[in-house]
Amino acid sequence: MRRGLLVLGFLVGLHAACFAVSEANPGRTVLSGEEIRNAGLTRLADIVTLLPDWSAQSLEEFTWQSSPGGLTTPEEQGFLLFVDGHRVDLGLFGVQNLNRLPLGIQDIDFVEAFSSPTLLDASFSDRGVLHIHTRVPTTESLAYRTMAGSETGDPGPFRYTDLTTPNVERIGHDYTLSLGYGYADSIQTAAATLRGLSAIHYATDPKNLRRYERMAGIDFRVLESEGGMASASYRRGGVSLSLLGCVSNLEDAFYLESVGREFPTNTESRVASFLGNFDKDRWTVQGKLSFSRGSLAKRENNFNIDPSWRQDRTTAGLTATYMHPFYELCAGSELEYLSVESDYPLESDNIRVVRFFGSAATSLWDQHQTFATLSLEGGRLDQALNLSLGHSWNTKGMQVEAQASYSERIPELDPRIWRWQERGYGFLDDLGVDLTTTPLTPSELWALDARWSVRTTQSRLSIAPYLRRHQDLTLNQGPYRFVGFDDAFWGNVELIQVDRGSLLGVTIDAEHKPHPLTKFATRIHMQWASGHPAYVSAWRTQPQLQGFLRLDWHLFENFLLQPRLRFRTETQWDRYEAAAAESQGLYQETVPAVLLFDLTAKKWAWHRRLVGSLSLQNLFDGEATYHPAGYVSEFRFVVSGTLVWN
Amino acid sequence: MSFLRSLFPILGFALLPLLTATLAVSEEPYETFRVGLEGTDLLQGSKLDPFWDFTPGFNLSLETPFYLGVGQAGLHQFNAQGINTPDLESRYTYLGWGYLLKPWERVEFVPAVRGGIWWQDYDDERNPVGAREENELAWELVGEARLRLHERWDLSLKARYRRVLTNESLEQGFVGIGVGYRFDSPPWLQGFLK
Repeated sequence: MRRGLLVLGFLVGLHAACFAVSEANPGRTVLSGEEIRNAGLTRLADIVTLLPDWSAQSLEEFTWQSSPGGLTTPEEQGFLLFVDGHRVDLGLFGVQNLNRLPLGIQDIDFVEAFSSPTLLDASFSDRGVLHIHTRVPTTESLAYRTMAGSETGDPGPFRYTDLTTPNVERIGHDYTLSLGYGYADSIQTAAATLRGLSAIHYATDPKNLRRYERMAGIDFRVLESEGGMASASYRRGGVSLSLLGCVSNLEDAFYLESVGREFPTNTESRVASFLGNFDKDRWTVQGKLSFSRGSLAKRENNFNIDPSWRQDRTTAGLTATYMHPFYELCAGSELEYLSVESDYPLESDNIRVVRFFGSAATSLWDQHQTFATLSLEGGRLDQALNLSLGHSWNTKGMQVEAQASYSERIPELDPRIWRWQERGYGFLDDLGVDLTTTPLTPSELWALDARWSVRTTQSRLSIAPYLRRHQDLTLNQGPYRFVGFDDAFWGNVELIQVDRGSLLGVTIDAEHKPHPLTKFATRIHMQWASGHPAYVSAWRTQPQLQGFLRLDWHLFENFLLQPRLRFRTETQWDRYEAAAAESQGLYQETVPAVLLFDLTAKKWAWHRRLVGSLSLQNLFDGEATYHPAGYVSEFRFVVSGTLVWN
Repeated sequence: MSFLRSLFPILGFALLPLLTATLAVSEEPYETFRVGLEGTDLLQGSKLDPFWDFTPGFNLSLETPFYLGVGQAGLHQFNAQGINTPDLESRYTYLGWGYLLKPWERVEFVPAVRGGIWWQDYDDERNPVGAREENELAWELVGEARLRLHERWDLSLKARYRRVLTNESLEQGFVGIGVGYRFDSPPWLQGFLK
């Protein structure tokens, strides 16, 4: 009944017939490749730290749990990842670890991040979308980058004296190489790229060291990665084809929120994807086929932990779009098939989902565009309805966008481990975790998003408030206990149903360019949660206020100096309350607010083919952490050298 | 906060050139290069004195005019014999920026601030090869006086204060004496660096 009313209301609201993917999206943020490279990131996954509205947090700063625009709680993340339009699935039990993608940051052209419900191609996501656009070669090209870094505070020569202290984090050397070829004439364009990556990072923060030692020995490499990626595209007339394939092996520590700690794993990822577009007159037909394999295998460890997990996800979709001068209509279908292999006997080892969607956009009046999407998806047991209606108003120098969305989440598409545990995956049982669970039920999300933007020749300001209302969420509320013999935390699982909770947030994004060579930029995010105590408790683990203030100062020709202030307010982790007491003050359930100062210097040479960069991070040497049991970052430096030949 | 305290001498050092701006010499970036070679010795008083006996080392440097001053890059090699500790081979590689002052025709002063990495390799057979190395971030303040012997050659005297950012902070003082040779950079090299 309710669904019927929703659809009816939707159709009434659709008075002018409007569905389609639109450039207008109140939750869309674009990060330029230059901004990413100047931030001194050491791993691809760190991109989310440049998006305050994604509220990224981490135990060890290798993998991140994020919550795009409050769409999901950190434990149930599951944002979709795209690379050059290809769907790439790196998600394992709700952890989208971008470090499994063999892509160096010098290959990034720009990144689009969506933190409001979005239909991108045939995929509807109410958990956020990250779309990485890589550099497409236009001629022969080569890019090579090497990077290394270290935190200060090592023992140095004192390791051989009674003043010795543990080593601290060490990064690299990392190497990435990409070779490209591009060709274009008046009839056709073609491009092909080959990429390779090798990375090795050590983390020996004293807080985590004892856990690592107990798990895998003293010289534990938290991240060791090797991989390659190949892509090709061709366009002639109205036909375009694109292929993407990648292979990567990653040895790292897999942090599973359910058990409150990380464990060593060996992860393999395989991706193969095809996209085809056919344009004729006003019609565009797009077909796609994507395959992603992710495995979580045993890595040498003292506890003999073996997750024994491999999942293959295949998606196939067909979309047809009709473009009229006054409106645009789009309709399509997508099939998704997820199959699993494990030594654990599973009741059912696959999930099949079918989606139908339609979208429309219209521009009945100058400067106004209305758009809407409707998506239906169904698995074996449940069906879900997703709707969104939006409007944008563009004038010279100002844009107003608003979107209202309703979406249903079915247990089969829940990215967390619980649905597999219901089917017999006994990994948590084997880890000795006590489970108090409740069957997963469908949940709902109402989302309102808006954005007001103004732009002048020198400045840009946007204010984007949002409201989320979650209903019937399943959250893990099990408290963590402190295990003294190896300074570890261990969590028992207690799943509870949260009837409702609301989240109000706002993102402020501003830039000012007082001089052609100088730019101030800031991005700030604030949020407030209300509703069920467990819901509020889950959101208290994220800062109410966080953001950064940055100055891009091209001091001289081909020389950039970039000071940056980052800040986030205190967070409260109620689930660590008992553990904090048990550790006798060694750990606290409160993570203090931080204010960090970074400084990056960058010099180009050889007609900007050579780039050297030095990034000093947390220059005031403040103790900064995201998590009660987490890695404490101190003053560190990252050096990189890049050769780009194009 | 210890870093903040460390900033004061840096700021003082950075302000020094403002007081002596009239003495400054300014050239086009990368117009010339100076190659320097000097012998160095570690002064007594370091926290490492009880553990290592440091032998004299050498410093190889490269310097070129670089926006409002001079840019510097170099390698400082110095080793030590262990006193109940493993022998140590070490190098300090750095990048720096200095201010060239010329109070008299044949005399130059170059105060500089540098940042770099101190690479250490310990002759420690207890650990595997990969685990015998350490590298630490360090910064240093340098005072250098040069006497021009010839259009291209000079004699230099140098004092260096270095702070290594280890957990137990480490301060080192070095003195050095050496020679420098200057040459005009070829156009292709200037173009490359610009």
